Amino acid sequence: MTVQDRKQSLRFLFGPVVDALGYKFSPDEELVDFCLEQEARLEEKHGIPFCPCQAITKNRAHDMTIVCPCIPFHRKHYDAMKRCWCGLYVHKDVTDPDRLKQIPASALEQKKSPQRRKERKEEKSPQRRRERGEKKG
Amino acid sequence: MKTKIAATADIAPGGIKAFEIDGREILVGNLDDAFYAVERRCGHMSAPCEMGTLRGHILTCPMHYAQFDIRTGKVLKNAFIKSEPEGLPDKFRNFFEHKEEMLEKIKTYDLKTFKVSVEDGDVMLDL
Repeated sequence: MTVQDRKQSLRFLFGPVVDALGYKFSPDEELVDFCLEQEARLEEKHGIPFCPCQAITKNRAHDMTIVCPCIPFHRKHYDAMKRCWCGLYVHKDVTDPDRLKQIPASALEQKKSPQRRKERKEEKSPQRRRERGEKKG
Repeated sequence: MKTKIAATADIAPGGIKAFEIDGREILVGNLDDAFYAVERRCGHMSAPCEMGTLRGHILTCPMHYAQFDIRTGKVLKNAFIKSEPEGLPDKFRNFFEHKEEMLEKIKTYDLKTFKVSVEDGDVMLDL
């Protein structure tokens, strides 16, 4: 068995899975090749092709959520970024993967939280501005 | 020498079936109407591979999940044995650890392939 063979098998096995999820392999072939090589090595060591960009914690419940392709376990997060955490998979409509950035899940949650939205709205209110001594405009 | 082993309709596309011919155990797979034959016994611990799965060209052994290319017989993934049994009494844990130590030393070998042809709706094997 060579790493090259394994990379091709992983590509063959994962392709239809991510296709059904609305994703595809990144057009950045170099990145795909690198990620798959790391996965092949992780699989050789642990028996499971874990995500090469996320830490294995030895907590089985957590570790099972980072088995590649881990899209179903992080759907909202990845859909917001239009890519998976590594960038191995991107949304089907993506043609330029370099423009997509990694956004931590915590940052997205904060952005979307209704409480945070309310706080930001209040911060911008004229009354608050007056309290802070800011000028209009 | 060619031997008829089955009718093409006996093995559905994506399916695998085991046969014993002249004392040899053979596995025949149908890959989109192209037939391939390899050894039935896994190249790791001789498990019967027809109990595993065929996904595309990748044949997976049911015992330790070694994977082979059914077209060439080449190993695509070595068998993986390590398990971490939890909550077992020491006596059993020691037994598992000892067993795993031995299993780790067993290599996974490529499967032998055989020539297969289709003649008049029959799958013929060339031994």
